[in-house]
Amino acid sequence: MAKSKRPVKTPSAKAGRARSASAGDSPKPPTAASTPARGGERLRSSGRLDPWLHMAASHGAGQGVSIMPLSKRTGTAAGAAAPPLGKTGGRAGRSPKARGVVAAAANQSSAARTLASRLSRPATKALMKRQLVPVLIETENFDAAAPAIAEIAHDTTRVSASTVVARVPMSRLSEIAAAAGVRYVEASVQLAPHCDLAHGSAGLVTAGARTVPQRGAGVLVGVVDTGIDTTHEAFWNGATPRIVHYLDQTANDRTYDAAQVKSGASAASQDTIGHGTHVSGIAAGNGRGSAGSQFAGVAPAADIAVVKTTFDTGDIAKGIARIFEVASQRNQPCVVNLSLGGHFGAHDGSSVLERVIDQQSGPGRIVVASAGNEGDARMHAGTVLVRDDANAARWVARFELRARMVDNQNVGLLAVQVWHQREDRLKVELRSPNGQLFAPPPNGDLEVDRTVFYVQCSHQTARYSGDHCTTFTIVTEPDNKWLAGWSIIVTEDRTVAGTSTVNVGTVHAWILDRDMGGFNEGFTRSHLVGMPGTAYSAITVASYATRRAWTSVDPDLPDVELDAVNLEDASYFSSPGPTRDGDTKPEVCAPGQWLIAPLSQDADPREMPDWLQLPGRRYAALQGTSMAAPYVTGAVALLLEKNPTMDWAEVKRRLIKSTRQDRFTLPCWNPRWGYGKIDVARLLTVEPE
Amino acid sequence: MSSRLKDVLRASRAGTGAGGTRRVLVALNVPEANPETLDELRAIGLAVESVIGNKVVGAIADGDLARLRASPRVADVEESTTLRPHRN
Repeated sequence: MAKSKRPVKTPSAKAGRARSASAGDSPKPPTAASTPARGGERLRSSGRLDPWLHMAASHGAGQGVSIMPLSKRTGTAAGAAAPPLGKTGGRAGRSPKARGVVAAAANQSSAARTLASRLSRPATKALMKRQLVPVLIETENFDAAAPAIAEIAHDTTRVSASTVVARVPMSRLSEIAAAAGVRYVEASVQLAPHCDLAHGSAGLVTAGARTVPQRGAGVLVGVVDTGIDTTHEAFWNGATPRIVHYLDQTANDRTYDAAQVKSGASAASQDTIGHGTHVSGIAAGNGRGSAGSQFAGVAPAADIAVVKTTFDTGDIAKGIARIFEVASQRNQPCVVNLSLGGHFGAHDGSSVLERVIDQQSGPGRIVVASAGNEGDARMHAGTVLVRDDANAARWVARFELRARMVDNQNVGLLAVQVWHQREDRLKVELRSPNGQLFAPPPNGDLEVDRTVFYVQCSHQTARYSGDHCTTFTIVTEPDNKWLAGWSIIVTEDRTVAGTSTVNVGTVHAWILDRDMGGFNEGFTRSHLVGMPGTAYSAITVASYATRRAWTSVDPDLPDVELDAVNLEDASYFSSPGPTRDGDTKPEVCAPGQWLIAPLSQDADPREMPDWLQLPGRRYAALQGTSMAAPYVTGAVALLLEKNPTMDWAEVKRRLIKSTRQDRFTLPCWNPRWGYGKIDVARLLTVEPE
Repeated sequence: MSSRLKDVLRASRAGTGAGGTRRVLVALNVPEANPETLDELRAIGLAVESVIGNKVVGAIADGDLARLRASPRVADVEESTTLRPHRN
């Protein structure tokens, strides 16, 4: 669907970066010399390489992606002609951009060169003249470039004010690249349709073709998120919208059906964050707006239902129920994606929201959740107290608050929850920096009001498990001597001297948000899957890396390359399991670092800065378990197309049996990888015992 | 001095409990929420927004929360919290 796009407001690069850096939760802008605090990812800017050359270099061997379409049987280029190598050597007299295009042709894959060597020179030349190459033409003056594009290019689609997707005879590539008004011509990966890097790694695409016939037809993919850009061509089939239901909980539950999406009325409910649009595209985008549909999602023929949520757990519960209700009305199997979470609660799947998920799931009703992005956060500390009648067990976890702006006040504000088993009699206390101890009464509250800090304590016995939860909420002046030096102290609550009250001994403490602060000691790299990822019936997804480079529209960073991303390795941010009660979460790991998917045209540039946006501004790169979950959601949609009544237990059995282990995952199940990497082709064919 | 800190905490929670009310998710002790049960919950002060099987999403005044928790029809009451997208 061709459409014009509003220009994205872009702050000046330096100013925008300064704001992003201080904002904390904005995307970290890469700089050549800096290392972002969380990821340790350093970006190498290689200057203004020709995009084609850059793509040829970045999609080379080892990525599972070839530049030319390969025949499955022979491994050689199928039906496509390679450039005549002899023609690409002369550079004299050509413009730099023309030199780049022609030189890039010489750098095409060895498979292409193999084919070329097998063809006679006249035959090669004849094929060359006919060969139409999918390209993306970026203009600096569209009107000036239009005559040349009209004369030379075929199948042209203007995808933005400055960008045209087209097919160009290979023999005339340099001519169009040199035409007046053309900034550059980008090609190469377009020759491998659907062959985005994640799909190759996850077994969905091999040698440029999908490995499975299913595309999600007849299945409803539901997304509860920040909304969706309903005008994005990836969610349309020609003039027909694929979004059949759109509920906006942020606008008094305003609802749009397919007709209202088609009329454009739904454009009023914008996705200004861009997260939901990206997530929806990974699961079910059809790739339109990308050359050769190369950025198609996993289930590009699925129908789509979206809830733009407030992210309040009550609204999320309602959103899930609404999507399943729509699926029932349409008599469709359905999978709902939840790329969201939090750390309030028992971490054992017993929250009411998680029990709603369990209740709503069933045959043809599946929920997929992201594991979380706290893999590198000091948010969890824990221990197992040892029963010893002679010496009372004691555990101390020190932590500090981080000063931040809350309600326009600079303060420290932190909430920490401590959970222990119903079988143990333990005393849980908070120690302030000046040595005072505070503890709530059983199933009661305590409030402490001091000059420099304010503390609320509460104890509750969980209704579902009978376990004990003690919550401390602390607000302090933003002075280091009050931000640091806090401790949780857990001791036995002995009623009979010489008799231990420890029976199980497991103690867990969670700081509820990484922005609040962190533990100084005793913190673990486990038990960091949040709610609703700990829901028993949900399929919980961790993230691994499949991409570290792309071409962006940022004039200062046209070639984004993240050195520290280890391809095929687990993402540093991906939250490891298990749950507090030992359930094997996450179940599966999927591509989530970095994925290219549709960009909402309404996304705030602070959320989607230029360095994340690809030429044409229709697609963007993002990372997070938010991106990994919809990959599995799409795969489940393919399963449901094959078997519409499959339930979550059967889906999990097939996932467990089909996952892939390698030198990165090591033996599975393990807390970081779950049962291993998703393998879509095997998932669709495996039969569990 | 300290009241400032207390006010900050209260303000930070305003989104979930404006005007002294709290948004809650309620799990019932019955397989399905029937009209009689919902009427009992309303009598306690719960403003019912949505019913999902035997779970209810609603809002209740701070002062009525303890009575709601104590109701024999109620298995669990959870205050609604705000989650965040898992984009890194």
